[in-house]
Amino acid sequence: MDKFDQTIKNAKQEITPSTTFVDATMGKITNKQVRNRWNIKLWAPVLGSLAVVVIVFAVLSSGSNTFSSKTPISKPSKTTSSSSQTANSAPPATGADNTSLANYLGGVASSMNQENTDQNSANQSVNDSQQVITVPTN
Amino acid sequence: MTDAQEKAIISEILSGEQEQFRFLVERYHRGLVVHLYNLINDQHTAEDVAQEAFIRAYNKLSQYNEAYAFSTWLYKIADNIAYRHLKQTKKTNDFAAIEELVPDDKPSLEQATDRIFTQEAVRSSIDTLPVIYRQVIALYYWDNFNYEEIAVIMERPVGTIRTWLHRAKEDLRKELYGQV
Repeated sequence: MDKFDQTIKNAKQEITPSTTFVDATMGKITNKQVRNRWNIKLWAPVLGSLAVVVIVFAVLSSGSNTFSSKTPISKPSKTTSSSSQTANSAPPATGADNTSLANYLGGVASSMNQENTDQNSANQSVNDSQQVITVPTN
Repeated sequence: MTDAQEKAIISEILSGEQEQFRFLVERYHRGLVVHLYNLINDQHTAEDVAQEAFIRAYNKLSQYNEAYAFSTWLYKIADNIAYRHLKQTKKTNDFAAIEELVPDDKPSLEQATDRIFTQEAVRSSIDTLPVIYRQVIALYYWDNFNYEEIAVIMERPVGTIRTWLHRAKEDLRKELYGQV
């Protein structure tokens, strides 16, 4: 071993490991042994996944039973837009004849009736949905 | 503890007396932590790697080949873990080491021939070497393993280990003496 080899050898750094190293290492080894003996490490994720699947399935099946017995919520009539378009059509110009004015007023009255019908339909839908919600589920 | 006693302890552990493993941890932990510290340069990480090595050695003790020393097998496991760690952190460590190492004025060959280097200077130069060269230097100079044992630890032929050690020394010499 020449001088340069000795130089390298002298470059070694010395430290003192922490005093808890042996106990900490043995503690981890012992815990690992217990876990392996019962296969907890292997089975825990599998059991956890199964539990999640069972819970999700239970929630879904109870939810579908509740809603399947209910009356479907009726949708409001789609005719509102067409009747509104009629109602919003331009009024007759000043000096128009009586026939045009009567037609216009008739259209307005028809639109108002349609609006009332739509509102009743919407109210009925809300009542239906409230009725579904208030039915107790077991 | 003699080698025969060590083999007896290993047999007892394999037959179920896990607490006997404590003797092996007590015997080798200091040398292993110091070895890893000289590779990694961080005591906390060195101890984590050493602990992981002991746990793996325990779990795979049935695969241990008694033809080799237990220390050789243990260092092989530890160096594999350390090597992966060093490869992961290589980029940042290397940049930090290079920035620290670039000297303002390198000594000429004449000035350097008889120069006595500080431990810090040598250490810093060793830290710039590739990981495998640092491993070879640590195992050969600081942990006193011979070529054959290092070949087992690093899973390379003895000739490769000789070559790596020679190149490591040459690179280190160039780094220290400023030769290119």
